[in-house]
Amino acid sequence: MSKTQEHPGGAARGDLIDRLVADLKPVEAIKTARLYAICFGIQALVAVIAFWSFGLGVESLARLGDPVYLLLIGVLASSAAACTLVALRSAIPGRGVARPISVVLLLVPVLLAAGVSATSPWGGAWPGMLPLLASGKMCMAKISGIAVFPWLAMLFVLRWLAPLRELATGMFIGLAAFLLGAFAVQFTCNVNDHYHLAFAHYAPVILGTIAAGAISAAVLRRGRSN
Amino acid sequence: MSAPGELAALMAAAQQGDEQAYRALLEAVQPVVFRYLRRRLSSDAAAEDVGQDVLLTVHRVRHTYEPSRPFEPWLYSIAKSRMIDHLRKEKRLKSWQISVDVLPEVSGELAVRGMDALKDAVAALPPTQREAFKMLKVEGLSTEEAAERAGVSVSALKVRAHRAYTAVKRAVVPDSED
Repeated sequence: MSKTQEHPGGAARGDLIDRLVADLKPVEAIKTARLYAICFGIQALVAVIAFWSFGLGVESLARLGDPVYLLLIGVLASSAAACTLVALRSAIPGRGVARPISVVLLLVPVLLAAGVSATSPWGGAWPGMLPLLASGKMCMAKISGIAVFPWLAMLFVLRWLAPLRELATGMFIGLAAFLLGAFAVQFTCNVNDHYHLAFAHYAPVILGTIAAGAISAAVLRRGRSN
Repeated sequence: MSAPGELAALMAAAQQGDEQAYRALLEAVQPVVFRYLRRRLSSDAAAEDVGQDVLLTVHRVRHTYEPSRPFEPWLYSIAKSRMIDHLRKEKRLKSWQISVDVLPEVSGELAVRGMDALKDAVAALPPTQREAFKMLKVEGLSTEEAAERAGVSVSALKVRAHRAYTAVKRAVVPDSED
Protein backbone atom coordinates (compact mmCIF):
# COMPACT_ATOMS: atom_id res chain seq x y z
CA MET A 1 0.00 0.00 0.00
CA SER A 2 1.33 3.39 -0.90
CA LYS A 3 1.74 6.10 1.69
CA THR A 4 -1.27 8.03 0.33
CA GLN A 5 -3.67 5.18 0.91
CA GLU A 6 -2.97 4.94 4.63
CA HIS A 7 -4.95 8.16 5.24
CA PRO A 8 -8.65 8.91 5.09
CA GLY A 9 -9.58 9.73 1.53
CA GLY A 10 -6.13 8.47 0.55
CA ALA A 11 -7.40 6.64 -2.52
CA ALA A 12 -8.86 9.78 -4.06
CA ARG A 13 -5.74 11.75 -3.19
CA GLY A 14 -3.56 8.96 -4.55
CA ASP A 15 -5.46 9.16 -7.81
CA LEU A 16 -5.07 12.91 -7.89
CA ILE A 17 -1.34 12.62 -7.23
CA ASP A 18 -1.04 10.16 -10.12
CA ARG A 19 -2.74 12.64 -12.43
CA LEU A 20 -0.63 15.58 -11.24
CA VAL A 21 2.59 13.62 -11.66
CA ALA A 22 1.51 12.56 -15.15
CA ASP A 23 0.87 16.23 -15.98
CA LEU A 24 4.24 17.43 -14.67
CA LYS A 25 6.27 19.60 -17.02
CA PRO A 26 9.45 21.51 -16.22
CA VAL A 27 8.79 25.12 -15.20
CA GLU A 28 11.05 28.10 -14.73
CA ALA A 29 11.00 29.22 -11.10
CA ILE A 30 10.32 32.91 -10.59
CA LYS A 31 13.10 35.30 -9.68
CA THR A 32 11.61 37.97 -7.47
CA ALA A 33 14.45 40.45 -7.95
CA ARG A 34 13.86 40.33 -11.70
CA LEU A 35 10.11 40.80 -11.21
CA TYR A 36 10.64 43.85 -8.99
CA ALA A 37 13.05 45.29 -11.56
CA ILE A 38 10.53 44.78 -14.39
CA CYS A 39 7.66 46.40 -12.47
CA PHE A 40 9.64 49.37 -11.17
CA GLY A 41 11.22 49.75 -14.62
CA ILE A 42 7.77 49.97 -16.19
CA GLN A 43 6.72 52.60 -13.66
CA ALA A 44 9.85 54.69 -14.17
CA LEU A 45 9.40 54.49 -17.93
CA VAL A 46 5.77 55.57 -17.68
CA ALA A 47 6.70 58.53 -15.47
CA VAL A 48 9.40 59.64 -17.95
CA ILE A 49 7.00 59.30 -20.90
CA ALA A 50 4.37 61.29 -18.98
CA PHE A 51 6.82 64.12 -18.24
CA TRP A 52 7.99 64.11 -21.84
CA SER A 53 4.43 64.10 -23.22
CA PHE A 54 2.79 66.62 -20.90
CA GLY A 55 5.79 68.78 -20.01
CA LEU A 56 6.71 69.93 -16.54
CA GLY A 57 4.71 72.73 -14.92
CA VAL A 58 6.92 75.75 -14.28
CA GLU A 59 5.19 76.58 -11.01
CA SER A 60 5.46 73.00 -9.84
CA LEU A 61 9.19 72.97 -10.47
CA ALA A 62 9.52 76.25 -8.59
CA ARG A 63 7.68 74.66 -5.68
CA LEU A 64 10.30 71.96 -5.26
CA GLY A 65 11.83 74.12 -2.54
CA ASP A 66 8.58 73.97 -0.57
CA PRO A 67 8.81 71.21 2.08
CA VAL A 68 5.04 70.56 2.03
CA TYR A 69 5.12 70.14 -1.73
CA LEU A 70 8.14 67.84 -1.46
CA LEU A 71 6.32 65.82 1.19
CA LEU A 72 3.30 65.52 -1.09
CA ILE A 73 5.22 64.22 -4.10
CA GLY A 74 7.32 62.05 -1.79
CA VAL A 75 4.19 60.43 -0.40
CA LEU A 76 2.79 59.87 -3.90
CA ALA A 77 6.00 58.32 -5.25
CA SER A 78 6.79 56.19 -2.23
CA SER A 79 3.18 54.97 -1.93
CA ALA A 80 3.12 54.01 -5.60
CA ALA A 81 6.35 52.05 -5.12
CA ALA A 82 5.09 50.45 -1.90
CA CYS A 83 1.83 49.41 -3.56
CA THR A 84 3.77 47.80 -6.39
CA LEU A 85 5.83 45.89 -3.86
CA VAL A 86 2.74 44.80 -1.92
CA ALA A 87 0.95 43.71 -5.11
CA LEU A 88 3.92 41.60 -6.14
CA ARG A 89 4.38 40.07 -2.71
CA SER A 90 0.68 39.27 -2.42
CA ALA A 91 0.90 37.36 -5.70
CA ILE A 92 3.61 35.02 -4.42
CA PRO A 93 2.47 32.41 -1.87
CA GLY A 94 4.25 32.70 1.45
CA ARG A 95 5.18 36.37 1.08
CA GLY A 96 2.40 38.86 1.65
CA VAL A 97 2.53 41.96 3.82
CA ALA A 98 1.27 42.75 7.32
CA ARG A 99 -2.38 43.81 7.27
CA PRO A 100 -1.83 47.25 8.94
CA ILE A 101 0.61 48.21 6.18
CA SER A 102 -1.90 47.18 3.53
CA VAL A 103 -4.69 49.14 5.19
CA VAL A 104 -2.58 52.29 5.53
CA LEU A 105 -1.54 52.07 1.88
CA LEU A 106 -5.12 51.66 0.72
CA LEU A 107 -6.06 54.76 2.70
CA VAL A 108 -3.29 56.94 1.21
CA PRO A 109 -5.46 58.71 -1.42
CA VAL A 110 -8.21 59.30 1.15
CA LEU A 111 -5.69 60.65 3.66
CA LEU A 112 -4.13 62.88 0.99
CA ALA A 113 -7.51 64.27 -0.02
CA ALA A 114 -8.48 64.81 3.62
CA GLY A 115 -5.05 66.23 4.46
CA VAL A 116 -4.93 68.88 1.72
CA SER A 117 -8.58 69.77 2.35
CA ALA A 118 -8.04 70.20 6.06
CA THR A 119 -4.72 72.05 5.95
CA SER A 120 -5.15 73.84 2.60
CA PRO A 121 -1.38 74.42 2.35
CA TRP A 122 -1.60 76.66 -0.74
CA GLY A 123 -5.04 78.11 -0.17
CA GLY A 124 -8.13 77.68 -2.28
CA ALA A 125 -11.66 78.98 -2.62
CA TRP A 126 -14.70 76.97 -3.61
CA PRO A 127 -15.19 77.78 -7.29
CA GLY A 128 -18.50 75.91 -7.73
CA MET A 129 -18.97 72.42 -9.08
CA LEU A 130 -18.94 73.18 -12.80
CA PRO A 131 -15.78 75.35 -12.80
CA LEU A 132 -14.11 72.74 -10.57
CA LEU A 133 -15.03 70.02 -13.05
CA ALA A 134 -13.90 72.18 -15.98
CA SER A 135 -10.52 72.94 -14.43
CA GLY A 136 -10.08 69.36 -13.23
CA LYS A 137 -11.15 67.27 -16.18
CA MET A 138 -7.77 67.49 -17.92
CA CYS A 139 -5.92 66.33 -14.80
CA MET A 140 -8.39 63.47 -14.29
CA ALA A 141 -7.96 62.37 -17.90
CA LYS A 142 -4.16 62.58 -17.64
CA ILE A 143 -4.07 60.57 -14.40
CA SER A 144 -6.30 57.87 -15.87
CA GLY A 145 -4.38 57.84 -19.16
CA ILE A 146 -1.03 57.50 -17.40
CA ALA A 147 -2.38 54.81 -15.04
CA VAL A 148 -3.73 52.51 -17.74
CA PHE A 149 -0.37 51.33 -19.04
CA PRO A 150 1.33 50.34 -15.74
CA TRP A 151 -1.94 48.82 -14.53
CA LEU A 152 -2.25 46.58 -17.59
CA ALA A 153 1.46 45.70 -17.49
CA MET A 154 1.26 44.76 -13.80
CA LEU A 155 -1.91 42.78 -14.41
CA PHE A 156 -0.10 40.82 -17.09
CA VAL A 157 2.85 40.12 -14.77
CA LEU A 158 0.65 39.14 -11.83
CA ARG A 159 -1.50 36.83 -13.94
CA TRP A 160 1.62 34.80 -14.47
CA LEU A 161 2.18 34.63 -10.70
CA ALA A 162 -0.27 33.22 -8.16
CA PRO A 163 -2.40 35.88 -6.51
CA LEU A 164 -4.38 34.01 -3.88
CA ARG A 165 -6.37 37.07 -2.76
CA GLU A 166 -7.32 38.48 -6.12
CA LEU A 167 -9.30 41.51 -4.97
CA ALA A 168 -6.55 42.78 -2.67
CA THR A 169 -3.89 42.20 -5.30
CA GLY A 170 -6.06 43.91 -7.91
CA MET A 171 -6.62 46.92 -5.66
CA PHE A 172 -2.90 47.32 -5.09
CA ILE A 173 -1.96 47.23 -8.75
CA GLY A 174 -4.73 49.72 -9.45
CA LEU A 175 -3.62 51.96 -6.60
CA ALA A 176 0.04 51.78 -7.64
CA ALA A 177 -0.87 52.76 -11.21
CA PHE A 178 -3.17 55.65 -10.23
CA LEU A 179 -0.76 56.99 -7.60
CA LEU A 180 1.91 57.00 -10.28
CA GLY A 181 -0.51 58.94 -12.48
CA ALA A 182 -1.16 61.44 -9.68
CA PHE A 183 2.59 61.75 -9.07
CA ALA A 184 3.33 62.51 -12.73
CA VAL A 185 0.42 64.95 -13.05
CA GLN A 186 1.52 66.75 -9.88
CA PHE A 187 4.56 67.95 -11.85
CA THR A 188 2.65 68.98 -14.94
CA CYS A 189 -0.24 70.79 -13.21
CA ASN A 190 0.14 74.38 -12.02
CA VAL A 191 -3.06 74.47 -9.98
CA ASN A 192 -2.43 73.77 -6.30
CA ASP A 193 -5.74 74.91 -4.89
CA HIS A 194 -6.81 72.27 -2.34
CA TYR A 195 -10.24 71.76 -3.93
CA HIS A 196 -8.56 71.04 -7.24
CA LEU A 197 -6.07 68.63 -5.65
CA ALA A 198 -8.70 66.71 -3.73
CA PHE A 199 -11.23 66.57 -6.55
CA ALA A 200 -9.10 66.32 -9.69
CA HIS A 201 -5.99 64.53 -8.39
CA TYR A 202 -6.96 62.27 -5.49
CA ALA A 203 -10.61 61.43 -6.17
CA PRO A 204 -9.63 59.79 -9.52
CA VAL A 205 -7.07 57.73 -7.62
CA ILE A 206 -9.78 56.48 -5.24
CA LEU A 207 -12.32 55.75 -7.98
CA GLY A 208 -9.70 54.36 -10.35
CA THR A 209 -8.39 52.02 -7.65
CA ILE A 210 -11.86 50.65 -6.98
CA ALA A 211 -12.59 50.14 -10.69
CA ALA A 212 -9.15 48.70 -11.47
CA GLY A 213 -9.39 46.47 -8.39
CA ALA A 214 -12.72 45.01 -9.46
CA ILE A 215 -11.64 44.45 -13.06
CA SER A 216 -8.25 43.03 -12.03
CA ALA A 217 -9.86 40.65 -9.54
CA ALA A 218 -12.21 39.34 -12.24
CA VAL A 219 -9.31 38.88 -14.67
CA LEU A 220 -7.12 37.19 -12.06
CA ARG A 221 -9.95 34.87 -10.94
CA ARG A 222 -10.57 33.92 -14.54
CA GLY A 223 -6.88 33.19 -14.92
CA ARG A 224 -7.03 30.94 -11.87
CA SER A 225 -9.95 28.89 -13.17
CA ASN A 226 -8.40 28.38 -16.64
CA MET B 1 6.78 16.55 7.80
CA SER B 2 10.16 15.75 6.25
CA ALA B 3 13.37 17.38 7.41
CA PRO B 4 13.58 21.10 6.69
CA GLY B 5 15.11 21.59 3.28
CA GLU B 6 14.11 18.15 2.04
CA LEU B 7 10.79 19.34 0.67
CA ALA B 8 12.46 22.39 -0.83
CA ALA B 9 14.91 20.13 -2.62
CA LEU B 10 12.10 17.88 -3.87
CA MET B 11 10.17 20.90 -5.16
CA ALA B 12 13.25 22.28 -6.88
CA ALA B 13 13.70 18.90 -8.60
CA ALA B 14 9.98 18.83 -9.50
CA GLN B 15 10.33 22.25 -11.12
CA GLN B 16 12.98 20.66 -13.36
CA GLY B 17 10.46 17.96 -14.33
CA ASP B 18 11.60 15.14 -12.00
CA GLU B 19 8.46 13.00 -11.65
CA GLN B 20 9.84 10.82 -8.86
CA ALA B 21 10.71 13.83 -6.74
CA TYR B 22 7.32 15.35 -7.45
CA ARG B 23 5.48 12.20 -6.39
CA ALA B 24 7.58 12.01 -3.21
CA LEU B 25 6.82 15.67 -2.49
CA LEU B 26 3.06 15.34 -2.99
CA GLU B 27 2.91 12.15 -0.94
CA ALA B 28 4.85 13.85 1.85
CA VAL B 29 2.75 17.01 1.95
CA GLN B 30 -0.75 15.61 1.48
CA PRO B 31 -1.19 14.10 4.99
CA VAL B 32 0.29 17.25 6.53
CA VAL B 33 -2.09 19.45 4.56
CA PHE B 34 -5.02 17.20 5.45
CA ARG B 35 -4.19 17.36 9.17
CA TYR B 36 -3.79 21.16 8.97
CA LEU B 37 -7.19 21.49 7.30
CA ARG B 38 -8.94 18.92 9.48
CA ARG B 39 -8.07 20.92 12.60
CA ARG B 40 -9.70 23.99 11.10
CA LEU B 41 -12.64 22.62 9.13
CA SER B 42 -15.83 20.98 10.33
CA SER B 43 -15.57 17.57 8.65
CA ASP B 44 -13.26 15.06 7.04
CA ALA B 45 -15.10 15.53 3.76
CA ALA B 46 -14.48 19.29 3.76
CA ALA B 47 -10.81 18.78 4.65
CA GLU B 48 -10.57 16.22 1.85
CA ASP B 49 -12.13 18.57 -0.73
CA VAL B 50 -9.97 21.53 0.25
CA GLY B 51 -6.89 19.28 0.52
CA GLN B 52 -7.34 18.21 -3.08
CA ASP B 53 -7.82 21.82 -4.08
CA VAL B 54 -4.53 22.65 -2.32
CA LEU B 55 -2.69 19.94 -4.28
CA LEU B 56 -4.16 21.25 -7.53
CA THR B 57 -3.08 24.77 -6.63
CA VAL B 58 0.41 23.61 -5.69
CA HIS B 59 0.60 22.02 -9.14
CA ARG B 60 -0.70 25.09 -10.96
CA VAL B 61 1.54 27.63 -9.20
CA ARG B 62 4.65 25.51 -8.68
CA HIS B 63 6.71 28.02 -10.67
CA THR B 64 6.12 30.62 -7.93
CA TYR B 65 8.21 28.67 -5.44
CA GLU B 66 11.75 30.03 -5.21
CA PRO B 67 14.10 27.14 -4.32
CA SER B 68 16.31 29.39 -2.19
CA ARG B 69 13.44 29.99 0.23
CA PRO B 70 11.77 27.66 2.78
CA PHE B 71 9.03 25.50 1.31
CA GLU B 72 6.62 25.33 4.27
CA PRO B 73 5.44 28.98 4.34
CA TRP B 74 4.76 28.72 0.60
CA LEU B 75 2.69 25.56 1.08
CA TYR B 76 0.79 26.77 4.15
CA SER B 77 -0.15 30.07 2.57
CA ILE B 78 -1.73 28.14 -0.30
CA ALA B 79 -3.53 25.84 2.15
CA LYS B 80 -4.75 28.79 4.20
CA SER B 81 -6.03 30.72 1.21
CA ARG B 82 -7.87 27.68 -0.21
CA MET B 83 -9.39 27.07 3.22
CA ILE B 84 -10.58 30.67 3.46
CA ASP B 85 -12.11 30.37 -0.02
CA HIS B 86 -13.91 27.24 1.10
CA LEU B 87 -15.22 28.87 4.29
CA ARG B 88 -16.48 31.87 2.32
CA LYS B 89 -18.23 29.60 -0.15
CA GLU B 90 -19.77 27.62 2.70
CA LYS B 91 -20.98 30.83 4.35
CA ARG B 92 -22.55 31.98 1.08
CA LEU B 93 -24.27 28.60 0.67
CA LYS B 94 -25.59 28.72 4.22
CA SER B 95 -27.10 32.12 3.64
CA TRP B 96 -29.09 30.59 0.74
CA GLN B 97 -29.90 27.42 2.61
CA ILE B 98 -33.51 26.78 3.55
CA SER B 99 -33.87 25.19 6.92
CA VAL B 100 -35.68 21.85 6.73
CA ASP B 101 -34.45 20.46 10.01
CA VAL B 102 -38.11 20.22 10.88
CA LEU B 103 -39.55 18.66 7.75
CA PRO B 104 -42.87 20.05 6.54
CA GLU B 105 -45.76 17.80 7.49
CA VAL B 106 -47.50 16.88 4.28
CA SER B 107 -49.06 13.51 5.09
CA GLY B 108 -52.38 14.85 6.44
CA GLU B 109 -53.24 16.75 3.30
CA LEU B 110 -51.88 14.05 1.04
CA ALA B 111 -54.01 11.36 2.63
CA VAL B 112 -57.11 13.28 1.57
CA ARG B 113 -56.03 13.34 -2.07
CA GLY B 114 -55.00 9.69 -2.15
CA MET B 115 -51.87 7.76 -2.81
CA ASP B 116 -52.15 7.86 -6.60
CA ALA B 117 -51.79 11.59 -6.72
CA LEU B 118 -48.77 11.34 -4.46
CA LYS B 119 -47.15 8.65 -6.61
CA ASP B 120 -47.67 10.73 -9.75
CA ALA B 121 -46.26 13.81 -8.06
CA VAL B 122 -43.16 11.95 -6.86
CA ALA B 123 -42.67 10.32 -10.26
CA ALA B 124 -42.76 13.75 -11.89
CA LEU B 125 -39.90 15.06 -9.74
CA PRO B 126 -36.41 15.48 -11.22
CA PRO B 127 -34.30 12.39 -10.35
CA THR B 128 -32.15 14.11 -7.69
CA GLN B 129 -35.21 15.53 -5.88
CA ARG B 130 -37.04 12.20 -6.14
CA GLU B 131 -34.03 10.42 -4.63
CA ALA B 132 -33.88 12.92 -1.75
CA PHE B 133 -37.63 12.63 -1.13
CA LYS B 134 -37.56 8.81 -1.06
CA MET B 135 -34.53 8.60 1.20
CA LEU B 136 -35.98 11.01 3.75
CA LYS B 137 -39.72 10.26 3.61
CA VAL B 138 -39.89 6.63 2.49
CA GLU B 139 -36.70 5.10 3.84
CA GLY B 140 -36.58 7.39 6.85
CA LEU B 141 -32.87 8.19 6.60
CA SER B 142 -31.45 11.17 8.43
CA THR B 143 -30.36 14.12 6.29
CA GLU B 144 -26.71 13.25 7.03
CA GLU B 145 -27.17 9.63 5.93
CA ALA B 146 -29.10 10.66 2.84
CA ALA B 147 -26.48 13.26 1.92
CA GLU B 148 -23.72 10.71 2.27
CA ARG B 149 -25.54 8.21 0.10
CA ALA B 150 -26.29 10.83 -2.56
CA GLY B 151 -22.69 12.00 -2.44
CA VAL B 152 -23.60 15.63 -1.78
CA SER B 153 -23.33 17.99 1.17
CA VAL B 154 -26.07 18.07 3.82
CA SER B 155 -26.99 21.60 2.72
CA ALA B 156 -27.42 20.51 -0.90
CA LEU B 157 -29.51 17.53 0.16
CA LYS B 158 -31.77 19.75 2.29
CA VAL B 159 -32.30 22.13 -0.62
CA ARG B 160 -33.22 19.19 -2.91
CA ALA B 161 -35.60 17.81 -0.31
CA HIS B 162 -37.28 21.15 0.25
CA ARG B 163 -37.79 21.62 -3.48
CA ALA B 164 -39.22 18.13 -3.71
CA TYR B 165 -41.68 18.75 -0.83
CA THR B 166 -42.77 22.02 -2.36
CA ALA B 167 -43.29 20.46 -5.80
CA VAL B 168 -45.18 17.47 -4.37
CA LYS B 169 -47.35 19.65 -2.19
CA ARG B 170 -48.11 21.99 -5.09
CA ALA B 171 -49.01 19.05 -7.34
CA VAL B 172 -51.20 17.27 -4.80
CA VAL B 173 -52.73 20.30 -3.08
CA PRO B 174 -52.78 22.87 -5.92
CA ASP B 175 -54.10 25.77 -3.82
CA SER B 176 -51.62 25.20 -1.00
CA GLU B 177 -49.22 27.97 0.03
CA ASP B 178 -45.46 27.31 0.02
